[in-house]
Amino acid sequence: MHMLASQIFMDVSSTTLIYVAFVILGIILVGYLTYVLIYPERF
Amino acid sequence: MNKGVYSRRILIEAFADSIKKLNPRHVMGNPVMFVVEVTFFFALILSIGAWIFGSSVAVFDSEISILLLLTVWFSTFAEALSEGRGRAQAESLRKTRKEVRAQKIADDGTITEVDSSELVKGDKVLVRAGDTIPNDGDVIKGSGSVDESAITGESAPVIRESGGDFTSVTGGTTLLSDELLIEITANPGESFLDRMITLVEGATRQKTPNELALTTVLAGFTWILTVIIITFNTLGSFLGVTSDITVLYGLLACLAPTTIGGLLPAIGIAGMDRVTQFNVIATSGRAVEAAGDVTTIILDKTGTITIGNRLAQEFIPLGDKTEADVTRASFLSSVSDETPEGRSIVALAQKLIPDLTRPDVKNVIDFSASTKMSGVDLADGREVRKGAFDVMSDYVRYVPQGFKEIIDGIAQRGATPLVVSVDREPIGVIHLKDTVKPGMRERLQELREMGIKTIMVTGDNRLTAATIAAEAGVDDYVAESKPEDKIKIVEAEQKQGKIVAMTGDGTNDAPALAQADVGLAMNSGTQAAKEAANMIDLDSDPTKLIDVVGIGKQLLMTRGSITTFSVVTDFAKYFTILPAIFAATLPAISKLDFINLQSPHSAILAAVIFNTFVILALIPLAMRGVKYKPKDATSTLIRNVAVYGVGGLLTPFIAIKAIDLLINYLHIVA
Repeated sequence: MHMLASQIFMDVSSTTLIYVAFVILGIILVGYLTYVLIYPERF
Repeated sequence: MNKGVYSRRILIEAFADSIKKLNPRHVMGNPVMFVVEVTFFFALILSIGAWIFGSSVAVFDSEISILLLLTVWFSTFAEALSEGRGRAQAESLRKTRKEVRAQKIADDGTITEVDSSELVKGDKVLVRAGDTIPNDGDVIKGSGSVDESAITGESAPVIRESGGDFTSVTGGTTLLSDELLIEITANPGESFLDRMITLVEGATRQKTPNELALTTVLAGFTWILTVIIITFNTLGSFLGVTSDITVLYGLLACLAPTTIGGLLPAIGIAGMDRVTQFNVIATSGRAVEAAGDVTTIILDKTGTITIGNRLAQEFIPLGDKTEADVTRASFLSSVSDETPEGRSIVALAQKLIPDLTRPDVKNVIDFSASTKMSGVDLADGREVRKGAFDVMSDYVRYVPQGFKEIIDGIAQRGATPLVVSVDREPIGVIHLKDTVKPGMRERLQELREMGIKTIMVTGDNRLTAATIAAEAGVDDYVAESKPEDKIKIVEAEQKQGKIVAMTGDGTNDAPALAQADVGLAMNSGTQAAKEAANMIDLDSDPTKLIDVVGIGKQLLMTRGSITTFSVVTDFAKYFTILPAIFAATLPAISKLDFINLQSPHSAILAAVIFNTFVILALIPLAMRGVKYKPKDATSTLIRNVAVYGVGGLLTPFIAIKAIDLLINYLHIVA
């Protein structure tokens, strides 16, 4: 497990897992921004 | 109260407050900053992982993370700093709001002593000289002088009396003389002071329409960028172009409109604060913004355009008398007259005949409603009097030829004639006239240059109105108007698409104040006027409307200028970050990097550092507002585009290059 984790973090930028996490986070942010655009007065 | 932007106490408090404001729940209200903050948390986790597992990008990741946090922090700091000044003012107001004992009068006339916090709307209280007025109310019986300095800062007492337009009293002020019967008009916690404290503290601050519109644009812009960033590697992989994740979130922070996004709340609060510094309380940021958009200002003649006190203009001799005779007689009649009118007569006489000396006065006759004349009995036995024509024509021994014509001539010009006599012999007529305030003409000219139309409203006849209008230089005037006509004027202007500002203090001004886009009520005015208006001038100086319009314009310009700057600086970032991203896969693109940055990582770091610290650098501008001069819209726009547009285009190139050189010199780039 530790080995796998080290491998993942050895080269952070090219790791697919991190990229997937980045994309998921991005989608959440896009969702939030869409909400702001629809209901700006709630912010 | 310390008014300095950077007073130590405000800075320390703002520092602590800005840390609290980093709470994501608070930042969520600012879409651009929320995206940066979420990116920071992501970057932080990656940095920690990179350090634990000894990645080569650990230092770079950490640097970018710290910069992202700083970006959000500088924004919350700007907001906390602008709020801090309002809070300082609220504190000094809170000291005014003290608990006092009040003499409550029951319907059967019995008096009971209660705490001021127990008083509710409709209660009647008796306030005696020296007492603090327990809560807001209207005077229903009596008259007295009230010290309102606790609220207005003005030490001169004001008269409050039942009936008319000066009935309103404010809780926390002190009655100096006489006795007043007051009907309470506010429930506990809803008084004028309570509302002012809430307002200056910004607790109920809501985004203004302009802020909402700008937030939507900024959120839209960030939305597009976020979509581009998250799809960048997936789509780029088809072309063989991918990028480090750290670089991608660095790119997101740089290209998102963080400068304006970070400073937007501070600009709005600082704008309201500038109005407050002028002793004007705006009930909402919307009112201040509307002031910036004003295209028509309706001004009262008396007290706003003119001084309101009639001043001596000339001395007109009667019959065989000379101008010197009437000047001397007028001087004698007014030597003991301390009213503004009396003093102006003495001043004019001394200007015409400089060697006039004060006579020995045996007896002073003050003006009274029954005699309608005033004057002095001199030690040498002469009786000098001045007064209105109707009483003086009965008082004098004879009416000379041409007397009536002179009187009518003055009256027709809207001025007031006063007849002067010595030992009942008519000597001449004093021409008293309301004069245009000094500097008023220039101020109205400034408004014209800003493209704002001015309308003067007066109850005077057309001739007087036209004379004063021409003298002051207003664009238009409405003569012989009744107070209730004001709403018609406001509506007529609004129908033409104009944004209208006006001032008022009477109850009959209330509908017009509510209808106007900017209604500035005088603190001395009635409760109804204050309720209807969206701004209240604590000093009760109607001329301030012009300053308020200036502050509103400055607020809008500051927001516009920083938005321009924020968006234009992105241009330079394309030339620094894009070549860095594509350096490995598309070497030809490095030509874009014409400022020749040291390495892709140092280019990105330099751009992010610039992006972060420009917020800090612009905090003073956001607080103070851009330099504002009353000029027409086009030349102001050209100037601001030149300063903030061209400045925003060039500054980042120079700054990023300098930062790049510095970080390489200090070896802080991985």
